[in-house]
Amino acid sequence: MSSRLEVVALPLPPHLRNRLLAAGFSTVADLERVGGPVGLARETGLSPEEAHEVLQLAGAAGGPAALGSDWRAGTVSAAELLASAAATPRIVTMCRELDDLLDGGVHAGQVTEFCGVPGVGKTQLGMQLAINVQLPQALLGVEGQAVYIDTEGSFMAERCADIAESAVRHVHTMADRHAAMGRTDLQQQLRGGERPFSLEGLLRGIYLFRVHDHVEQLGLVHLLPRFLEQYRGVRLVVIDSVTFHFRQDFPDMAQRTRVVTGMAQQLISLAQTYNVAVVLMNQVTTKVLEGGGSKLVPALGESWGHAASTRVMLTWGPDNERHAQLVKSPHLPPGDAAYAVTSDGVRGLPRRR
Amino acid sequence: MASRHVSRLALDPYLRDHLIANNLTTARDVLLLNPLDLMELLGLTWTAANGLLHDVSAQISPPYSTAYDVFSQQATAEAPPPLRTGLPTLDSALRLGVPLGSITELVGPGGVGKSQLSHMLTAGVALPTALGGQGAGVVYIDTERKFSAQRLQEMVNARVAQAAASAGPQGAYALQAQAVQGEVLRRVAISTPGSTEQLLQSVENLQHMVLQYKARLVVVDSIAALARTEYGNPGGSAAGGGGSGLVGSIMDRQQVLGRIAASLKALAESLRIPVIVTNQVTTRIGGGAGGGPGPPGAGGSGTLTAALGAKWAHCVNLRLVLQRLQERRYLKVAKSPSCANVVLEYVIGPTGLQEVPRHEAELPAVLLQRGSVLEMAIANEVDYGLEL
Repeated sequence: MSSRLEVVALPLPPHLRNRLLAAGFSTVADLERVGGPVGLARETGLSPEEAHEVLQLAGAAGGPAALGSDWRAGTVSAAELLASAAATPRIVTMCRELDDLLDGGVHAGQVTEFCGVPGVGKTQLGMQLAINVQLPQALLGVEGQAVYIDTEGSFMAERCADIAESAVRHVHTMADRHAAMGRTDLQQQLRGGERPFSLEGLLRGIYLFRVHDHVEQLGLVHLLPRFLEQYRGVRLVVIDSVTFHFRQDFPDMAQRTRVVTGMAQQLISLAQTYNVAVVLMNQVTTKVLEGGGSKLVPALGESWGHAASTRVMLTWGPDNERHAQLVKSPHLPPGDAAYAVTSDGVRGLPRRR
Repeated sequence: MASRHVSRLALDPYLRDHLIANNLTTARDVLLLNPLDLMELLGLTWTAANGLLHDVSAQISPPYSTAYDVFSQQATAEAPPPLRTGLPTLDSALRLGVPLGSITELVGPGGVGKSQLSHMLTAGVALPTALGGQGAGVVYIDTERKFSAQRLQEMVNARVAQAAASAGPQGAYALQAQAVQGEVLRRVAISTPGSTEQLLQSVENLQHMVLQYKARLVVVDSIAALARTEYGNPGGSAAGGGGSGLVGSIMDRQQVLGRIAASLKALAESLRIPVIVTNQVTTRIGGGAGGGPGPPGAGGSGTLTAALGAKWAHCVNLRLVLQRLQERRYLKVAKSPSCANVVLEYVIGPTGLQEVPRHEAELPAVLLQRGSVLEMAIANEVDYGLEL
């Protein structure tokens, strides 16, 4: 009914209204098929800005959506993006330097990749993040749960329990400190909460999947969206390590590239749609350089390079300490942070007096 | 690993026939395609293609548990008994013994004691429970014909003698060395593959042997030997420009190693047993990260490092490095997901490896240094006593 609304009924200044009538537009329906502001401008001699305004008014007056009132859908201004970026939940690593390197920790809505040599601490970091995602908000946590996909059998429950116990001690210490300063909300949360912040509570908050080959891995990645629909508390998905099963059994490299790229796209979409942090652990491989010599590069090479928006290389520095180097990020400068793996988990280096 | 055949998936029969008619016979075949490919190939709608992928995924994906389930299972009475190494420092670091369901690697230069340790652990599993063993079988894959039944016998005798000495005259049970030996040796199954292909076959058929012998340990001694001789050493530029033939063979070797590792891990996990693999050392010409070995005898400093490269190093979960320094032997944990990198000194005796108790201050500082497991230099100071 509203498409029969007459142009004369629109709140337009007379000169615009006359131009429209002169060009033969008598109802709002006529404005539908004109091809947007540019088309209208061409037909009526109006400027594009005036034409745009006319169509906006027609849409707002109840005209059909085809008039272009939905041109806004899917686009946001950079200012809005900046505001939402500041509000993006982050999962801390408990090493201050490393958190600073990543601007507060691992970001939700993004895919972050950690590559490193064997033994540098990828699994340790994965387990630490799976515990830290569960921290109370008062202590920079997001009170979420974690999905841990173990592809190599590196997940050791008793080690995860050590890390969890240390986190429990830390949280209770902080709660006592807050209470001593008069802020008892954290303590109350710990005592009264439905989900106890205890060793058992923390370990129950990690959903563990063990995949044995690339077929299981592909299947599981297909199912993750459903899983996240069902378990809405999950805020972190860790895959440790994501490329192991794709490094053999693929004689056809082109096929491998296609499959791996497809998987990467699904993970990116998962991160964005459910606003979870997707963390991928990757191995390194030796790349032989021309002219002799070799260097260590992330496994699966170029085809995989586009999967993560943020990439961190974990290495051993000349000081015999572990270092994290930010090598790819949408907005952070490259940098280096030293970290340690202690019996409590991932921590910063002890300060030397 | 075999992928499930489409006929064993719960699918609409018409759809199943359609898949088979188009040469998509396993779950793998379906999952390697994306929805657009399936629409094109099978004439399905977008919804139907996604539905198919979802149905197949749901049937072959692993179920989940929580970290708590795994943790609490390890503490129950049904948990299998831990495999202790008999080296106190290592056992206390490992807490639950040699890890089940993952690959533990012993790496070191020739003659340092890797096979000795393998034999000792074999005895540890095969001995009857009355003597501190598990009374279970062992599958020993011996690629270098180094397994010694006599040495195993000797170790068993030494353990029996130890137990008899501590039991004293009141030892109620009859510790007849002969009987025990026979029992132990019958529990150990030896397999001797002659080529990498055969090794891969053995590994893929391990589950039959393990179940037949009721084995609670699998040893592969060593994995390096065949891989290195058949696929050649990755040569440096001295080898004449390192043509594509050499590069091709390195990649093949990596492929084979990757498959062996994945099969061993899957077996270890599904049967909940530890898998021990021994590896050799290779010479790396100093400088540069992760380079392959250079031609032997090349001038300049070369350091010893674990063979088989970075990819293999990723596959193992626990790496124990055995080395010789200043006429003493040391064992060091170089890579572990759950324990600290402890170092201990040992000697080789009748029962196998025996720890020599030392304070941390008495251990060589170079061993206590941390660093990348790929760059770790393995010491092999051997005095051959030759007059030059």
